[in-house]
Amino acid sequence: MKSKRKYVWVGTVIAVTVAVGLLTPRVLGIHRLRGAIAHYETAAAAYMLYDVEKAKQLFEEVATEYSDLPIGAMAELKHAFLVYDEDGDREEARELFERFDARHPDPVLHLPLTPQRFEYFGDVRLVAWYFLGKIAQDEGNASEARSWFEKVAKTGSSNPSNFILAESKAILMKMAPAD
Amino acid sequence: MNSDGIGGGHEVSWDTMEIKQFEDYARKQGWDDTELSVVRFVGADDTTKYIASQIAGESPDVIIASDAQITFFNDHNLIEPLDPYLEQWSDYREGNFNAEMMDACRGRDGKLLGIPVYENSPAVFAIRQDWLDNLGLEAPDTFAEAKEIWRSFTFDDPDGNGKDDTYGFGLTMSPKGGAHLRNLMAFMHAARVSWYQLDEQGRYVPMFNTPDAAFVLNFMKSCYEEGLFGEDVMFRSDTSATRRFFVDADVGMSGPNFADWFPNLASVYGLSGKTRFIPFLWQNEEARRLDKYGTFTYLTRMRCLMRASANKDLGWRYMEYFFSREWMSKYVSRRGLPFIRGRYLGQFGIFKSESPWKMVRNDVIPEIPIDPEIVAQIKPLEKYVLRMPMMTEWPKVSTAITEVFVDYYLGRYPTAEDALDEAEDRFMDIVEGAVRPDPGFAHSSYNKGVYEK
Repeated sequence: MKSKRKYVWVGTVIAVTVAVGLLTPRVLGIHRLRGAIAHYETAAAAYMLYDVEKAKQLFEEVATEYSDLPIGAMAELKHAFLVYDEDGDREEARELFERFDARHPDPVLHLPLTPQRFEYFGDVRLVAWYFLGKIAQDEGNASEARSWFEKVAKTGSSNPSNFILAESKAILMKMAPAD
Repeated sequence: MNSDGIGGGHEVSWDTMEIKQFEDYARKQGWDDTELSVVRFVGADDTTKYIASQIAGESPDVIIASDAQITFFNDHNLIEPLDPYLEQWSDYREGNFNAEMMDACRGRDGKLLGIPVYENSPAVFAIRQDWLDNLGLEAPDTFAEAKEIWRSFTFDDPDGNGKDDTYGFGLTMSPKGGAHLRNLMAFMHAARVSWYQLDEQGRYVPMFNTPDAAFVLNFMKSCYEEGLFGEDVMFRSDTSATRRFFVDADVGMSGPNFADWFPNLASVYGLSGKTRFIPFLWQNEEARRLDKYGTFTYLTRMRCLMRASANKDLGWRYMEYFFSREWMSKYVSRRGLPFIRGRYLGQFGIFKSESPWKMVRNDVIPEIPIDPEIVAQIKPLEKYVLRMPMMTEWPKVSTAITEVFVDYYLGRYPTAEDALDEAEDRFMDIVEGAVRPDPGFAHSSYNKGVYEK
């Protein structure tokens, strides 16, 4: 009877140890992810409240601190987008998007995690390629632009709500046919 | 969403960012009381709960709501008329506000209940140009031509994928919130049928029991029976006509559409260059010859001052702030107001702020104007706009009318005239103080066969 009770105790201790061992990283991971989302949303709020410099700084922080998470990749792209769209600094923006492209050879999937707001979901590399195409187009380099947009169209899924893919296809339709 | 250190360190929600901006502004002005309460009513929010909060003495200072909600509150004497405030405001006295739009915001007693931000463009139809091209067809001018094209869109594989998966027109039959009626409205108005009007005593008069309305119902019924709206259209409540056109992309024509947002949606869903507007879809050749046509517009959600506000002075200052030239200009900038800026950032600048057709302020010019080609197409419609006065019971009335019309399509009324009689009866039952049309007034089209503008 005693030895049976001992086995139960030992079994319980082992089960608890295994559960804690398995769950702790997950709990910590969720906690860290929550922190990343809050940080990211604060950056978005800064932009919405017309503080572009603060938004850029916060997106850069998220990108550095959470570079291993898809939301970190999104933050990196948002920072580069603001450099392109708000600062109008094509050179700096190209460097940022190219660096992103070089660092992410494999698909990076951003899935819905943030609050109910219009946001890009899917392979975020498409965003970088789209803006590299836009920058090339801005600078009058049609063939380079075409190759980036074609890369988006080729790699993107057939998801009709992927607006980066849709916009790239629309631009390709409007561009003069390739030689 | 938490935005510590931003906007004064408030807990900021997506809906109240603009208000927090105002409170920051008020603090900078050194005003004593800067706490403003604004309630934004969304969709079919339960307005009766709001009445209870009023009784409990917890009135917000300002509300943002639909015209039906606003007239509901006004019927309960909860809205503070804005006329005396506006008369004191130099921006208004100098004629910077669009008088026609302001007049559309008056209650049955003629008092100004709220201020909208802008008016949508006149409603138009839109069609898949790529499908027309694939089938070698021209865009329709009349209902009958549209029906022919819907047949081809339904049965001739317009997208060339070898599957029987397309339909003619995007129509929802859902009675919820009068969804079907919104779709049908494009056709009813095109036949110059209005739903109701106010008579000189401020009573609602139903205007839709006419031969032209019967013509439209018969047209829709015959199209339904041919399957031109899709087999499942009667029963699907999980989708909207707009979704069918843009997201599912399985219907070739849609309406009503507005030039303010259509190009944005077309761009986001990859339909740029594949669609075109149909500004005029005549009831028939006779209507075209008589120049008998109609369309409609919407005013965006109005802001109203509440009679029971604890701080009406601050509430009015918010109205002045929000409708100032500076703030309205932000509204129509490429990146828009805070909420729109969120979408703009979220979609990497591909979604842009809407370009309003007509701003409430005459001195505000949108940063991105609507495409001049689109303006040229739609501008001629302005003289055909049918305006309906605001009505509290419209959501209920439109649902009741929809139920009758859908029953008619399903064969539960012998004739369209019977269905219209029943719909008119239901209108009268719901709208307290409504009067039956004088035969020489609303039924003029019955008697003469032609509605005289």
